[in-house]
Amino acid sequence: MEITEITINGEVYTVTKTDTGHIIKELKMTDAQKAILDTMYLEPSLQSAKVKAARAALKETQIANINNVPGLRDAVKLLLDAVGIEYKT
Amino acid sequence: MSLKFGSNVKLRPPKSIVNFWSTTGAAASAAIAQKGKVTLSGALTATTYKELLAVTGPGVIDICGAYAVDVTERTIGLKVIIDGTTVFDAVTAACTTQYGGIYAIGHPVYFGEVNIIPQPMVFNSTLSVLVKSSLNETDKIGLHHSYHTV
Repeated sequence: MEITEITINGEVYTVTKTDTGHIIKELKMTDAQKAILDTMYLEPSLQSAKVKAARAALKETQIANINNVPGLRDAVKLLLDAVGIEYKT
Repeated sequence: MSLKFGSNVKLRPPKSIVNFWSTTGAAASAAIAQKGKVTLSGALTATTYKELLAVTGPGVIDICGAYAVDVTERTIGLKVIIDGTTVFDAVTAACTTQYGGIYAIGHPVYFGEVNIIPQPMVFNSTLSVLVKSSLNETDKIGLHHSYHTV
């Protein structure tokens, strides 16, 4: 198997020549793109941890503000429910 | 009886399999919905197709779809060319749903979450997959695909 890289319009593609004679050209993912993909595919448990961490970072005044606006409070509750977190005021 | 998919490709063991985990270093995960190999689009010029995958040689592709990474309103185009023939070339309606998209190959079904049922399609000599967006943008379209060479 032989793997080379070519650049088209400033983007890197890998070209793989396999022992079977196949040639496969595909856009090579940069580290930044891999990070985006990793974020998209966090397991639910990890998503929960991420949201929990974000919520823990909220200041008490911000939480109070959320609770004081019924529509916003309900929206936050829906979002947290969607990732399996119980919303506690 | 000889069982064939196409004129030159018989049913035979794959020579390589490509999916989400086929590149070393992919996370081990049980959350497999839409877990085919994904390639982000890189920089796209509005309404202009860009080839993200090209294979020379025979094989079978069983999942191929494109979807939006975020909620920005856009249309998503997907083109699949097999053995020089454009077998799929379509654009979605305006999409404002994150991960909303279009599948040329594979059937999305919903069992509590979206899953994709593979739909094997043989190619005898070449495969080309292109995506486009209605916007000038970078890395906002994901190409979800799974194939193997034979």
